[in-house]
Amino acid sequence: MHVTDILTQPFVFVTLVAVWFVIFAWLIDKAFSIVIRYFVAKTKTTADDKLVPVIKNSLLAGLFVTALYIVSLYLMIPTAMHIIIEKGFFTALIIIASFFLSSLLSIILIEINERSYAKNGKHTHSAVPFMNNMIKIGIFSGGALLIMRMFNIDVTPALASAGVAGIAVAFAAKDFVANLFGGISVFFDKPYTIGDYVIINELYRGEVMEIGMRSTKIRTRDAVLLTVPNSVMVTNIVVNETGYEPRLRVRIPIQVGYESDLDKVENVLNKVANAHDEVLEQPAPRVRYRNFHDSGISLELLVVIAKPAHKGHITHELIKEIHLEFIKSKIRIPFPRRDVFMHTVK
Amino acid sequence: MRRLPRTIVVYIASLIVMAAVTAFRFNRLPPEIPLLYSLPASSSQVVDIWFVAVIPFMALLSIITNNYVSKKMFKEDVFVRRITYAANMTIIIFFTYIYIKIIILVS
Repeated sequence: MHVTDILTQPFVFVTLVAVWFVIFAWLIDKAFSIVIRYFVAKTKTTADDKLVPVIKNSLLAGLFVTALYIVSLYLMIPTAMHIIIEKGFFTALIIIASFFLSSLLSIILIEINERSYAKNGKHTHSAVPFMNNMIKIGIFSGGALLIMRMFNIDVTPALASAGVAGIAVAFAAKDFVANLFGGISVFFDKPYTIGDYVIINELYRGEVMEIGMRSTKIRTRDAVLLTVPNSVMVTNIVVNETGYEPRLRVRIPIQVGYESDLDKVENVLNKVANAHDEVLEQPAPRVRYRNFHDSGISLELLVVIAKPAHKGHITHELIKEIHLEFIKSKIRIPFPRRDVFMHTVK
Repeated sequence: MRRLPRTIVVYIASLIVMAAVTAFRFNRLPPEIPLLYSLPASSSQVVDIWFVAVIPFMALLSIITNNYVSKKMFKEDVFVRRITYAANMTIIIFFTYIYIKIIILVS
C-alpha cells in the first residue's frame, strides 16, 4: 500500500489532524504560559495579564473548531450535510469571537476604571457594571444577527417585533426613564446644585450631596441620607433655601400681651437679634407686628442668617434669649387662660 | 501656546487621511454613490459624490456631543472623561474606515 493511500484513509487522516491539533495546542499553551507571560509580567498594567488567558483560550477554541472542520471535509459526508457543517463552523467562530471581544472590552473598561481612580485607591465607578452588561448584550446581539444572516433567517420581522418589545420594555422601565430624564432636567435647569439646602414637599430638608443620573442624594440634619428619584425632584415643589445667594431669612413668631409697650418690645428683640453671632447685620433684623389675637398682639422677628443649615440651632438660641430678655424687661407672653367662677346655688 | 486636545489632533489627522485617499482616487470617483443604503432600493439611495463629506461631519458632530455631555454633566468624573475619550477615538477610527472603504469601493 502506498503512503498517499494510507493518508487518504479517514481514520488515519483524523488521527493525524488530532495529533497536529494537540501539537499546535501544546505550542500555543507553552508560548502563552512561558514566553508571553514573561513579557507581560514586566509591564506595569494588569490589563495584559488578564488579556493573555483570554487570547490563549480563544485561540485554542478556534483551533479545536478548525480541526473538527478540517476533519469533516475529508469524511464521506453528503454535500447538504457539508453546507450545514460549514455554517456550524462559522457559527462557532462567531461565538468564539463574540466571547473574545466582550472579554477584551470588559478588560479595557476595568482598566480605564482602575486608571481613573489610581490615585484614590480602589474604587469602582457605578456605571462600570451597567456598561459591562450593555457591551455584552451589544456584542452577543450583533453575533446573533450575523449567525441569523448566515442561515438566511430574515431578521426584519424580528426587528419589527423588537420594536413592540421595545414598547413593552419602555413601559416596564418607565420609572427608570422618567428618573433619567428628570436627571437631565436637573442638570440643565439647575433648580439646585451640590451643597444647596433644599426642602422637598415640605417634608424633607437637607443638603444636596450628590446629583446622579437617576437620583439626588440629600443629607438631612439627622445625618440620614435620603435618595430621592429625580422624577420626584422635577415634579414636586423643591424649595432651595440657598437659592441664588447662600443666606436665609428666619421668622420667629411671637405674641406679647396687650398691655406691652410695643416700642420696648421692638428694642428688646432687635437687641437680642443683633447680639447673636450668626445673625447678619445687613439686612438688619426687623420686627413686624402682624395681628390682634385673642390673648395678645402677634409679631415676627425677621433675621437673616448666612448658613441655612444652622436655621434650627439659631432659632433655638434666639427663642431662649428672647424669653430671658422678656422676663428681665417684664414683657408678658400671653397664653390662653380660663377663669372659672364658682357660684353657690342657694 | 495652548496645545490642541488630543481628540482634535487625531480628528484632524483622520481628515488628512480621508483627504489623501480622496485625492488619490479623485479621477476615478463616480458622480453619484449609493450612500443611503438603508433606504428602500430605488434612486433615493443614490446621492451626489460630495455627499460623502457627511461622514466626517457626523463624526465631528458625535465628538462634539460626547464632549459637551461629558463636560456639562460629568465635569469632575475622571472615568467618564476617559470613556468619552475612548469613545471619540473609536468614532474617529470607524468613520475614517467607513469613508475610505466607500471611496475605494466606488472608485
